[in-house]
Amino acid sequence: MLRPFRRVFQLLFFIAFLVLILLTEGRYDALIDKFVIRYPVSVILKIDPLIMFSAGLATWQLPPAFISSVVLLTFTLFFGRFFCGWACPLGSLIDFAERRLFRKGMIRKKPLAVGYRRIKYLILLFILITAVFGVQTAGYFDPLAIITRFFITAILPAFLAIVNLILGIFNSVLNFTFKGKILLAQTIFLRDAYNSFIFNFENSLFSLEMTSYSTSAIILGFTVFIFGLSIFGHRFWCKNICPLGALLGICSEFSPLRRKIREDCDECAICLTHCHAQVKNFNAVKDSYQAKECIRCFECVNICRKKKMFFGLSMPPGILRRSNFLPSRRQFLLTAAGSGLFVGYMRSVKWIPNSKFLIRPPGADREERFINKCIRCGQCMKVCPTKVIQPSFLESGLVGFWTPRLNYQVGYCDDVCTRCGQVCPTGAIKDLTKEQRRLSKIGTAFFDKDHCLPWYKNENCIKCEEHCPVADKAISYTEVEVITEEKETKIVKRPYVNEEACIGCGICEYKCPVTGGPGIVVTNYKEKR
Amino acid sequence: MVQLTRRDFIKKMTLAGIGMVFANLRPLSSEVFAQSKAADIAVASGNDPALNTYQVINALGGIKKFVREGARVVIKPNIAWNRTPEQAGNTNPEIVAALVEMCNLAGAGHISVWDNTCHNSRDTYLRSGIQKAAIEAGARVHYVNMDNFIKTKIPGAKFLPEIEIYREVLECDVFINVPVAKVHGLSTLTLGMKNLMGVIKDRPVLHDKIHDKLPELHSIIKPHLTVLDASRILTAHGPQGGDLKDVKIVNQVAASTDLVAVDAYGATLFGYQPKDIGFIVRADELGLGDMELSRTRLIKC
Repeated sequence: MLRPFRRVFQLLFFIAFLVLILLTEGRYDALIDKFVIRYPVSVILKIDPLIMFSAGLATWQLPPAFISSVVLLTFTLFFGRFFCGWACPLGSLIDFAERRLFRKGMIRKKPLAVGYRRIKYLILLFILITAVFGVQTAGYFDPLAIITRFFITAILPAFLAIVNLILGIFNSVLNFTFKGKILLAQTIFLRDAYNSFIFNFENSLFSLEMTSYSTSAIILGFTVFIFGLSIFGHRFWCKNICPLGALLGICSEFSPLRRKIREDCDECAICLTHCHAQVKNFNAVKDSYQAKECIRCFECVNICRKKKMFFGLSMPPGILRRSNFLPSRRQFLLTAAGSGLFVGYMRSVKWIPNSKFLIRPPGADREERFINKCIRCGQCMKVCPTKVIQPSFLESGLVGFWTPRLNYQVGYCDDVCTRCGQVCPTGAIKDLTKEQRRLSKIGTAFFDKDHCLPWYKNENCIKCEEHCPVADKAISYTEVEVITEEKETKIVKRPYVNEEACIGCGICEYKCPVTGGPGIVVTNYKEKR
Repeated sequence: MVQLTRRDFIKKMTLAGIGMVFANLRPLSSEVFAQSKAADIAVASGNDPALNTYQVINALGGIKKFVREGARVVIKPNIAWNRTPEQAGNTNPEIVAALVEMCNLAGAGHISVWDNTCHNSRDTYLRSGIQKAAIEAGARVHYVNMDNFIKTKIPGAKFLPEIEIYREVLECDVFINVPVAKVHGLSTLTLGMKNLMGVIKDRPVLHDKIHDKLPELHSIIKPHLTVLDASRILTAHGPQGGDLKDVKIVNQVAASTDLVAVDAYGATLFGYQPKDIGFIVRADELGLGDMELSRTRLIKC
């Protein structure tokens, strides 16, 4: 009876999540002269206690938005793991994939050994221990970070690529020319309609520009793998791996809302086979309720033909009982030790960026805190107007995998834009005021005089000087008289950088027309954080 | 009655179709645009840029002289940079709005406002205030479609043999060039001729020898009307600016059918003589316009 109700709620929440992702884009507010993101998907990420508390533990600074995650925790303490069964977008998508995308019989029906359930508690332990010792790893395992990253870096770009392909076909047809002559001139109204449609769509909804993110193949593979795990059982990830599930499960144990069975239950155990949380190894149905594992899907209530099953209030046991579902003492200690070793190794690797070309977004915290606060959700990458923010592969070391970095081959960092800081859920990138943004220095530009046209070829250019957004120009030029190869005198404008004025925005590097290596390159020299 | 076989019918329809298609082939010659001799430059002063715009257009004969009923008009302001109107990096939105309104009053069929921007178009269109002003005045605004450029040869060109031009410029009836007067690191000044760079695709190719290439570009793109925004001019750190200290309030609007003449006038606003600016001199030498301000008729409004 409750099943369609739950599915509808899952669908609505998932649609809300998708719509929020699409709307995670800056809208111009002329009154304050600022591009503002009003409804980012950040609002969903901020209710996640695993993200908030891991970031807080690793940096000894609780993100300001952690209050909303406390709300979810409190809710779970009273009502149980509803989030998993009713809201979590990753869980909903796994449910949907299992129902519609997997072929019949692909999903293992026989329940797995209970021992697998312990993995998620051990992963949670790993995340907590590494966080306490200063390395935040929640971003890789948290379902909300995973699903957000997946949609932003892999699914949405693929969708936009298909849209652009279709639009491109329209465009080619509408603009067909033959030997430089315009055909179908009367169809100009079609071209007008097309251009207007694109303009109005992008202004009212979301940008249709194609985007591309580095390591997106890895993100795609990683997430598809999670879905693929369902071969071993329904919601394999949720039941056995998800550390948020583990955290919410532990809180569930204290919930007074528990499953109850009427006295006259004949123990046909059909509820056990339909339980999405699927338990095994219990003789009596009555003993089989595991509050930690129960995701409140109410399948047991739906399936019990004799209506013996219901959910009601009863006294919770209060403390975490000994259970086959929790790790054994040995497993607990081994994992704790392993986590300690892991974090020790990670900390022995220097926090100073390996590469002088590692540029972080303006407003980024100091490197160690930045890597610990960042949950690799990808929102900053979505919201950036030039798509200069890209996931790093190994440019910030193994410990910074998937953290955002600026790639000036792809875009540049607009000197008045504060969009990335507005959406960061943990404050890894601070939400800067316009004045703070103006004064942010994220690097310094250096000329490569072997590639810069005025320097090595005596060709006038100074596109970098033209595009330098600093009000009194961080790039200036000196006029030099040279004698060209054709034995003519020519005035060449040779540019140079004013180090103190340069804010490292990278537009010079991005716009440099030299193919075969930009004539000017930005490094993180003298970045201020 | 003649019997029409199926084969005949198909043959006739195909020929008719091809005929229709080829009947619409428009040659992209350089003589598409008109340009009058003995140019007038109208200059209006005052702190209302829209009023100034009305005055200069009227002084040149009224908008109906340029825009017929049902005409397709392209108004091409400078929307290149992510700057607010006060920073004078782009054309004053009030001037754009005034021009759109005038074209509407003249009964224009379609008024297009766009620019091939340097910064992100989404941001520049909004921050410059031009998107809002143009749409409110009734123009059709769109982002330049990067696939809509037609490769065009420039006959007689020594430095710029060919260039890709935005299709709508070649298809329109009236092309109104609305630059803003600024200094420029590479070309010394950016006025009407430099503003033409917003209708081509490969801008970087003009950078070297820009004083030679700009006139050659002008030789195939001749706006019917150039309205120079000198309400706020950028006197330093152009063409982008940023610091309000570099903005000088001049409160003028100048217009002419002769782009070279308007640029020559614009040069004087910065304390230059027209003969000091390379592209103005070369354009005059090519016969594209008259840079001699003593010869052109200056109408002060």
